[in-house]
Amino acid sequence: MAEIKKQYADIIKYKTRAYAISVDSPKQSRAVASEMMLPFDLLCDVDKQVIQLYGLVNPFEHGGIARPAIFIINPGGKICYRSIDGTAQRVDLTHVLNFLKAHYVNPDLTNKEKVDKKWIVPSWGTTRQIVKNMILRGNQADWKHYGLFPLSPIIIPLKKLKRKMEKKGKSANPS
Amino acid sequence: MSSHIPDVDEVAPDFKVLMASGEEFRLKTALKNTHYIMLIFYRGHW
Repeated sequence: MAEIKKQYADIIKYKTRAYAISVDSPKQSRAVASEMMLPFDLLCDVDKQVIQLYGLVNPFEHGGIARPAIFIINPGGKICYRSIDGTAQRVDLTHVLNFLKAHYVNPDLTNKEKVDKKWIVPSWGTTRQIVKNMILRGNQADWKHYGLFPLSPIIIPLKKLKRKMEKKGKSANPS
Repeated sequence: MSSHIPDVDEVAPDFKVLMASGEEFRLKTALKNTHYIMLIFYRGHW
């Protein structure tokens, strides 16, 4: 979000408005917006209807929150860009900006971001928040995301293999 | 509960939620007022 805030002037240049959505209440969202001085609006999906609609529920954390993702929707209401990210692994925002730039010239362009995600090295603010969460709320999930990242060269191929096996299983047994 | 993540070229599912300011936000209406919408799903104020 901090990165998007920094690049927001460029995003607006391409006739795009950003809205950030989470399951936070309006009160919590107002606190985030003023703390981070965000130039865009925050949306409050308190009853989790939108994250369900978009298939982005992460049930393993905090009783179900959004998986990080970015969608760009064109004036016709169609999705022209999407990137489904991980907690500690997000799309490089320059890719999103490059897409907006290219799309500005060629409105038929679509893009599904699959690769080239960059690992996030938690900032000082994030680290402080993680430690605070662990101490005050006994929450270790966030720490786990960042702590597991050195194992990603093993975990990611394993996940891919699992998905492949599942696909194979489905095609062998079409019911 | 849908587990399908809408793909590119699909119509973005419409929804209505509250904004932090307390005003109502509807995707369809917002698309009329601006050209493109960047919808950022974030984890929230954990």
